[in-house]
Amino acid sequence: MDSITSLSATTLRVSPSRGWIRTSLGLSLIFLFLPWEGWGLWIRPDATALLLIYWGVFEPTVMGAGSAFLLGILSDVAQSHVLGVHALTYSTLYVLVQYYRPRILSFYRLNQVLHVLMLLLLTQWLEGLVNGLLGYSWPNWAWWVIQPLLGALGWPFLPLLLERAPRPAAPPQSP
Amino acid sequence: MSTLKSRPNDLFSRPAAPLWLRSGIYGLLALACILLDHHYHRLEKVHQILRIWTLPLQELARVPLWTEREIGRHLTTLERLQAENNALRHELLGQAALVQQATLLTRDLTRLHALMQLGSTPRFTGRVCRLISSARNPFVQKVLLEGGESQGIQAGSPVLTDQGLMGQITRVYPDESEVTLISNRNLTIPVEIERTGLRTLAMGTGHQGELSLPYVPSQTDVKVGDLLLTSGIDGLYPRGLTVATLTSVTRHPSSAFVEITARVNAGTDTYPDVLVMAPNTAFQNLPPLDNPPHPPIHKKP
Repeated sequence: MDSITSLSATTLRVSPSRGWIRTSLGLSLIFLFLPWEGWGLWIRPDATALLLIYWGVFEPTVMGAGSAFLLGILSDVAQSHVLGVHALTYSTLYVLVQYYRPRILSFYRLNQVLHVLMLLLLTQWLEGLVNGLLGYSWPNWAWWVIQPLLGALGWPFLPLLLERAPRPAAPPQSP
Repeated sequence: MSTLKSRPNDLFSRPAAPLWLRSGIYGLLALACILLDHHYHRLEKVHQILRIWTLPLQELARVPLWTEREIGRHLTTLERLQAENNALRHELLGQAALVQQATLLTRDLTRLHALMQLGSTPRFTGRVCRLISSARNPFVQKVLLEGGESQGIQAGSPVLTDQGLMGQITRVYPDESEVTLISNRNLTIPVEIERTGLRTLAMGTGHQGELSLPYVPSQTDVKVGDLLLTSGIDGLYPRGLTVATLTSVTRHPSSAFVEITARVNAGTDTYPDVLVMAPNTAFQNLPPLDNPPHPPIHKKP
């Protein structure tokens, strides 16, 4: 539970391997494809967007705009949606994440939830807007609010899933 | 594993290209994709190729459901199977009479058609396919079927369940195909009301299992509970498939049309198997125009 309340900017992290970052993004796509039905489909949190924020904040050298675009395209294909809708929302999300990254890093993990919530809400609303412009039906209210809310509530627990615990007796790195 | 190693997490250095440029390019690319795919439908090949990438992930996501289904299948009790078997046998007996009557009717109908020198109605042929999953997006009313191009499934084929018309094949992958449900907003079906024979159009509303009939004049005789059948005038759906049941009929004094909504009869959650019908070829083999199929009614002596 220590990692939930830790100061992210100053905590010593072990950077995960590129392979693990890719695997985790793949797992988030699998989460998307689970058999959601009915109400579950309306309130399913967007795990891919959440991970995109997470890696965008903590591993900006690995997670680039291209990765966001590619994830969006794959997500569109798998959902049989118009190609490019998620690519657009995820690219926009990437810009917002990079813009707010210094600010997000300066907060405690629990306080970051509000920033993440805002990012997820904006992404969701952009997606709804694009879908509306493309002539799809207007989603019900739960979709606009509950999906981002559930996603943001998952934020404090991400380090438990994604990070390896730093070794206790790690020697300090001297330049 | 590697020793303690951190990628630089610096807040101050900026990459060579500014953020707005790097992301702007991808944003524009995404917009171009949306335009090309939604408006011009030019990205079918890209869909096919990218599908190969996402397929393994989707297969993995299906594992929990598959496990549940398999375990359920093994645990099905003998009594339940026997009860189901009995019920099915009763149903079969009940339908046997109808089927026998139908053969007689078809024979009579063919004879009448021959007398009137009309082309005979094409027989319904089809292939049973299994549903894989519904599209995991609340905006699109689509489902995926087992069986695709290699099984001879063609885009445009109507898809039926035991309760009625479910949708239409809109995209064919090598081993899967995508069905757009009739409640999808982009689909319009020519229907007739069974009780009165009135022909009109039913449109998807984009809400699950809901259709609307926007072009019914306000003086028309329509009632809640009327059954909608395909009218067959588009040449795509054969005539007489069950589509939906009217659920609400609202007449506004100020409007020239009745506001009608209908509930689709075929649910996707009732039965895992569906029937994919062969696309109607009758309209493609129309005789040339200089050789009219109907004899002129009034012949000059």
